[in-house]
Amino acid sequence: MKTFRLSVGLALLAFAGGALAQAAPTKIYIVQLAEAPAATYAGGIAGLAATRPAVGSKLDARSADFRSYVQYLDIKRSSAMSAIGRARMVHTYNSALAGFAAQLTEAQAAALKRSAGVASVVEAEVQQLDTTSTPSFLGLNKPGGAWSLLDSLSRQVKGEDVIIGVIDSGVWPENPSYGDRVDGGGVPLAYNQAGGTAAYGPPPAKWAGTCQIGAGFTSAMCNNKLIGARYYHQTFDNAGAIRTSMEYLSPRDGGGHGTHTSTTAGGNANVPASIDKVGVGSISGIAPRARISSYKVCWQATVAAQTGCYTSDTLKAIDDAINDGVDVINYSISGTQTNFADPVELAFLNAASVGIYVAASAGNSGPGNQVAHMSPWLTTVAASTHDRFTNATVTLGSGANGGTGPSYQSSGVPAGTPLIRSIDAGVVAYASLTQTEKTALERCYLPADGGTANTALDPSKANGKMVVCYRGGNVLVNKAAVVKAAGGVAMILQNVPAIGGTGASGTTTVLQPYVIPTVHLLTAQYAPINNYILANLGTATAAMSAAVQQPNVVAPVMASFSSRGPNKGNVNILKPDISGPGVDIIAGYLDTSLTQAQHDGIVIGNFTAAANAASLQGTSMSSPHMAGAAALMKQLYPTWTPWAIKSALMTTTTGIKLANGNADPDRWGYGAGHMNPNDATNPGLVYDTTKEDYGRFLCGLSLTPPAGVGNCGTLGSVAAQDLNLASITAGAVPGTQTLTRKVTNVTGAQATYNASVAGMTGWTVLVSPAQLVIPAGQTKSFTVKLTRNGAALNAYTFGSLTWTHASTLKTVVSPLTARAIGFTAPAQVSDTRTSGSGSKVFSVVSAYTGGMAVSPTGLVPAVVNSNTVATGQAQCYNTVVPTGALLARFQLFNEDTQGGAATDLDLDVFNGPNGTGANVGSSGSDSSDEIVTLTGPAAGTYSACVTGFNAPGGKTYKLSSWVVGPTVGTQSLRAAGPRGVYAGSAASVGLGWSVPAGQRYLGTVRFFDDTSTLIGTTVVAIDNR
Amino acid sequence: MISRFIRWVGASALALASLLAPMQAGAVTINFEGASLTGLYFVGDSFTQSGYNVTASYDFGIVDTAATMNPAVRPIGNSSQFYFATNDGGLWIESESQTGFQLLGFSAAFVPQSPPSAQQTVIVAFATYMDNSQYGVAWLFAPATGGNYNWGLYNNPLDFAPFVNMRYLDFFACSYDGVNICAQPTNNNGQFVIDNIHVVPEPSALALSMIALFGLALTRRRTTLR
Repeated sequence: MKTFRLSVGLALLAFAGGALAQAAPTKIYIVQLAEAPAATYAGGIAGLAATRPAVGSKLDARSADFRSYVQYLDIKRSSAMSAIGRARMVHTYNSALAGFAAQLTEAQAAALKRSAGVASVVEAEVQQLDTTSTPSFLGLNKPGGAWSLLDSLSRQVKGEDVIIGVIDSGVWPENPSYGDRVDGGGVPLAYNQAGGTAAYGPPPAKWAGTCQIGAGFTSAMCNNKLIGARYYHQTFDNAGAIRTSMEYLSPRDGGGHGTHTSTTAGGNANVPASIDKVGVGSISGIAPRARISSYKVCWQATVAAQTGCYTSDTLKAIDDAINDGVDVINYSISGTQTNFADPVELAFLNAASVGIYVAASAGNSGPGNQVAHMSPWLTTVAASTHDRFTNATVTLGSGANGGTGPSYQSSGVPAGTPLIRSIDAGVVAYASLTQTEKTALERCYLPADGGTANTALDPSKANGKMVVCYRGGNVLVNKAAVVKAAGGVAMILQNVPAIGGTGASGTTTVLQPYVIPTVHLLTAQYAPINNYILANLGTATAAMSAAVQQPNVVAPVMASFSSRGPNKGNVNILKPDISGPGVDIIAGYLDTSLTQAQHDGIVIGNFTAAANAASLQGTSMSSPHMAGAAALMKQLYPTWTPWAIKSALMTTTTGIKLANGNADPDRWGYGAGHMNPNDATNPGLVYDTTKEDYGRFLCGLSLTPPAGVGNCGTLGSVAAQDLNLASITAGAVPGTQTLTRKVTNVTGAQATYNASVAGMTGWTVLVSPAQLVIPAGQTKSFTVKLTRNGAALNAYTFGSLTWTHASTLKTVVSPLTARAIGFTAPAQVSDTRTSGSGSKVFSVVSAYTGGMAVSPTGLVPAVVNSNTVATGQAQCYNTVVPTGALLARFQLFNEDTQGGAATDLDLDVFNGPNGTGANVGSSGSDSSDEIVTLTGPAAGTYSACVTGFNAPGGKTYKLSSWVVGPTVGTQSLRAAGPRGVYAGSAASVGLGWSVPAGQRYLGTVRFFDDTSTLIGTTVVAIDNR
Repeated sequence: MISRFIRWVGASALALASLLAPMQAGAVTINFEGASLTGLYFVGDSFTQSGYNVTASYDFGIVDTAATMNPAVRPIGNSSQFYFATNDGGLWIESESQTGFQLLGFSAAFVPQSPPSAQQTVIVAFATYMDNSQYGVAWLFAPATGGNYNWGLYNNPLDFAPFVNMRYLDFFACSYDGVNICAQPTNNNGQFVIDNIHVVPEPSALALSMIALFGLALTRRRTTLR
């Protein structure tokens, strides 16, 4: 009996184990409730007072009303969760969104989507970090610059009592940029540097944040400058990612990026900086008196693809930032390029709705059209160069000038320093080396570059000397590392002609930091220096001057990596908005010299790290410049909306240049232009908006605004081109189009402004009224009528609209952008109602007056092929396309694929059977939403091949295929057009259909002009399942 | 055409439903509900509801909910089915029995095109009486919230007193420049939606109908008795 029971027990255990093995996998999902977040809750629920702050006030997360509303949201969360069985909640969101993040199975996520109280359920994504003297470049420290202005409390405008929240990879607290004390010379001191006097008072009263301790991060590291620090790792951990051994489970920066961005935005001024122990002068944030709160959401993972920042963690950080009382958020992290309803974008709308200015990086995928963070409520920042370019000069022991070249070093190398060529300092005599070894010694290779024991520098020869290394073959900074390892104190990085068996090097010079003082010299300096050394073997010496600024540097110039517009979410919203310094930006960083033991010592508290700085480039670096500038504006105008501040920054920009010094004509690089915070402090007029305006904008795109912003039934809608932005953009003008704007006089006196337009070649632009007389604080509207007058179709024209003050001649400049189209119809109209019969009305716009015929074809039900595919497998399905077919489409859907968006299937279409013939279309997103559409395909047999790119263990899927046309007989899709069309005006086209419910259908409507010429086609997609 | 509009009436669009005139005996509401009515109607296409024929005039029409429309121009305040007169179109109503009828009121909203017309637009009810004389009244549309117009309720008894003994009733939109109505073409900017058209047979027609119904009932009763 006992044995029997034991057997049963084992059987049950085995079964349970098997069941666990079969358990559905879970992922982190972001769930938004159909409730307003506390940031925008305006009351209306019995017993719950409004939590939305008054204009100019902060959300009070400590109030009883706030707590009561959070309790209400808790009940809603519990209610939603109770309907789906057992699941773990990872985060709760109260202010950025009303919702939570939870670890759910797909079935649970689907069940939540159907719940009445749930607005949306989306899977968390991993996003990537986008990777001084710029305050001087921006003129902040010049007489009359923003820093010299005084606010209403007679404090200099340097970000006083403004809180900048930086959502990034954390902070390196040993950097004096975060210190709240200064020494007798006014130099900031980090928390671990004794003495000094207090430079900051307690955090502003609005502050409600905290200093979260963790590995290598104690409460002593926060102070009255770095007033808050938090970290978020739950989704990172749930994704199975593993932190590198050099990470810290705390607010301490494991990658350096967060330290760089936060010190750029709000780091102290007058902070001596060294890059890997080489002094580079002093650095300063743009708003050096601002307080900083750090929100660490980005982590270094052992697997590179998992290094990054998970959106559900980010949302919690935004939530906390709102509750903590920050004034500005910097977000130098990648983001959507197309989806205005992205949860992070909407969280930033909620943040902005309570007055928080949000700066975000445009992305580093340039010069391609890949601009990210395209939502109009935040400021999307591109990256351009600045004018810091420093040179040092080499003086030979003979007194001769050895040459001048790019160099970072802030202090010189004294005269009399022994000078030696690397080829004279090897452990093995140069002459006895093979050619490969000679090249390695000439170029100062590390072992990783191909250096060997034979090609190493001999410390007994190089120690204490300035070493000449030839350019070529390896990363330039490695050469300096080789010299330093041998005890060298400086390096001449020498461009060279072909020498013996070694080819000529590159001919340009590069400014970048090295681990020892370095100057990079042109090829022309090779012979003089080489001849001097040969003439003075063993006794040659040289000096290197301190680096000095080079005059007449052309700047700003767009960085090629900066992602360009137009806005892929909507062509009527200009993106990027503006550009700022993002190339060669020196700011705080982590200590890159740490050993693992030292890292571990930091974690357990028996080792104190050093401060460090780094020169980085990216829109990650330009975005905090904008955040800092916004902090200055916040101090000066504490009651302004973030959108008024954005307007001020955009209408006061300066020009961007090409490398040759001419004006850069491509607005898609820089939006309004280069930031000019000095002038932004006195904008004259602003184009202001409200959160309701953005709600209307979303409604106009058939999207649902966040609860609390309003609902479309009461808000109405506004066309994207009429959203009251400082940029005026008409991406599809059918002959003529009139846009509306309104400006507010933010000065204390009535003003008269006159309109003028520049640069709109091929267009007639009528601004009405052309003169605005605006009393102080009042708002006036105007229209901009664009009429095509020779402009090429489908090409963008860039110009500007300027309002000039009648007496002071102060200008308020808006970027003006237009593109003419001949006829426009939507590429596709869709209907997802479940009834078999339906109708749809949509608009077309023509550039001519006359007749227009419509011709419907379809509806055709989808042919569905179901199968299972594993990673690396491909499965093909043949489709016969008849003569006269108008369209063929092949499509995969996340919802039809096991694993949904987490499964990555790709789709390729060939014009032959079974994957043969030419590839005529492919779709390779990182999910299973794939679509290939062939317009007017030639008759023949085609094949659509589904490839499992990431389908571990095999995933089921359904491939839907349609062939529309030829148009023979009565069609189930009917279409009616207007009696006529009028140039520049819209006309309605109607559709009607009656087909069996339960399928996906496809059809087309073709449009013909008076000459029976096909002028457009709209695809009709009906999903009545 | 302008001379036919003998009265100009300001909008009563924001009046509450409770102000509706008491429903008269035999009154019906053409509310466009019913799945069988949903769909696209070419010019001249008709359907019948509650004893009245409705015909799409001048341009095509749609019977559906607001889901059929671009959200940017969906009128605010009606989740049921209605008639959408597109472009410069309208609708034409007559009694199925070809007898006279009265109009008591209706709901309507403007549907702008993009870009919207610079001129104002009004909705016109235009009666053709049994003696073929004609009469029309124009009303301002209810104002917009953002780009979306609100539904307005038109039911002031004084406005509708002349709409009796009609053979046909047309609804269409027209331009209004502050003085003149229909003086300018609308160029596809005369779109509107209309719903809940309250009509009632003329008493004489109602009496005839009652007699007919009585006769039918009597016939059936006799049949039952047998």
